[in-house]
Amino acid sequence: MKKKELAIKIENLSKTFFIAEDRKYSLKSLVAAWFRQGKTRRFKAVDNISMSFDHGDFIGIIGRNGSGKSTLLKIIAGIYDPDKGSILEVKGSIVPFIELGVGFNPDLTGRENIYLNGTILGMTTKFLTEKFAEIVSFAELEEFIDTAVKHFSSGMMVRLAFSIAIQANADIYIFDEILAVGDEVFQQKSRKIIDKFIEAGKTIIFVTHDVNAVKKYCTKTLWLDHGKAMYYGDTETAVEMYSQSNREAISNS
Amino acid sequence: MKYFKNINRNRIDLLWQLIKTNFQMRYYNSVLGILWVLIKPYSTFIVQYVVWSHFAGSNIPKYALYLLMGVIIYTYFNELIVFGQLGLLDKAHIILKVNFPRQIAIVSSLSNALVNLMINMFFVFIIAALSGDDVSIQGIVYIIFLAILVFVFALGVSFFLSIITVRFRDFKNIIELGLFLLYWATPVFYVVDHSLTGKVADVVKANPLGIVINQFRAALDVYAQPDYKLMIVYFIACLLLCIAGWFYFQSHVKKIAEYF
Repeated sequence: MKKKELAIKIENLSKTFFIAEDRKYSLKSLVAAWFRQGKTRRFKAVDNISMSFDHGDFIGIIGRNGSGKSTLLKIIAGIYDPDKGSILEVKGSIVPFIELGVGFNPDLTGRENIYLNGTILGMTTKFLTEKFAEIVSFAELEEFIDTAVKHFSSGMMVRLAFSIAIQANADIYIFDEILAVGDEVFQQKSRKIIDKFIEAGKTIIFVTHDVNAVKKYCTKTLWLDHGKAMYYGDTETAVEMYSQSNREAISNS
Repeated sequence: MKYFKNINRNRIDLLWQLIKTNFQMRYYNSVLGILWVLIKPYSTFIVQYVVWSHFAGSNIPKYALYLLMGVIIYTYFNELIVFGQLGLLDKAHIILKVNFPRQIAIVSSLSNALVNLMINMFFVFIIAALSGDDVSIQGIVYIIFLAILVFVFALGVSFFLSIITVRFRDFKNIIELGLFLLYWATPVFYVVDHSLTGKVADVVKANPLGIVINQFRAALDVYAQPDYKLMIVYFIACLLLCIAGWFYFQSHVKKIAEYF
């Protein structure tokens, strides 16, 4: 067993959104807002979270809709700036699969989208050419690769997107609800790929509200509720606490 | 080391993919396709040529080339600013999902204007050659230099504008209005006689865009004389603007992610 190395360190991490009563996208509403100050509502999407991940960890993040999961991911991925005073240290390269098929253009063919999406995810054209056959065969789209993606079924689309995404070579992967892609056979194949990632000692952060998927994969789990970390530790406990709170929420409603 | 080499390679590849897709999509499903790049400036040119050669101002030699160069460079400038301003908003769907250097989004948007210029300019050279005006190698090199100068200026401006426009959508209309006013303050179709005086003439004469357009004309030996020294000064100024814009962009681009 290799010595655990720190992958991501988060300390007192917060993210506040300022939500204007009327959105301040125009000069008029901005000027108007100056005159009646305090009309903006503060919303803490992520509230003072501290935690750390080691390389090789498979971290689950669970929580209900609007609990701050995606915001936290976007901060880790470097898309949002956290609030002042937050500490975020990331050691290694990150590939965020916050959504599959980012930048997919429906009018372009599967082939063209492989290059477009692949370069967006940080791969080079040369690398994609080398991996092209592998991507196409994994996605099982040999026949349709020169068809415009808009004619694909949604299943074909996510298969292609997933097959491109897994080629990305990084130290830390962020999966947002994307492990349950495709049909039974494709899911089995995907599982094998994920197992390979784990064997290779990759760090994976997996966000979902599907507790079964978390139980299946995650070594440690973070439960978020209203932006706060309710529990961070072993998966069993996190899932149990989360399910308990959900049952309470249902019976109280 | 190899890792960093791959990153740079990826940035160039990504830029190329974005330019290519943008260009493909702009004329996708249109029958005339890429011809639209030519139709806009050239029909403007033809209409204006018919009008002005009948009524006014056209008593300078090679007025057709004068006008054509004016229309094409103004179109180039106009597209650079408009594309650059929307460079971030247009790529919002990617920017909110993947963390890549945002400057690539801006440069790729501007590059589409550059591609259009190259296509238009190619026909200018053909027209010039057909009308018996030899285009010198020196002239072509000068045009390339000037096109880069305008590009660098627009890049600097776009670094500021694209950020501000995400925050305040009004800027789209403000810039549209500004470009409209600038059009009339720029000697695109009219000719500013050096003997003219008065406030309006002073404004037009001092308009840097007009001065640069006249330098483009000078490259084809139309109307003006090349002023290399002045253009090098301009170039340095644009470069400084661009560097300042880069830093502004770099320090603000993450803060505006939530305003898309």
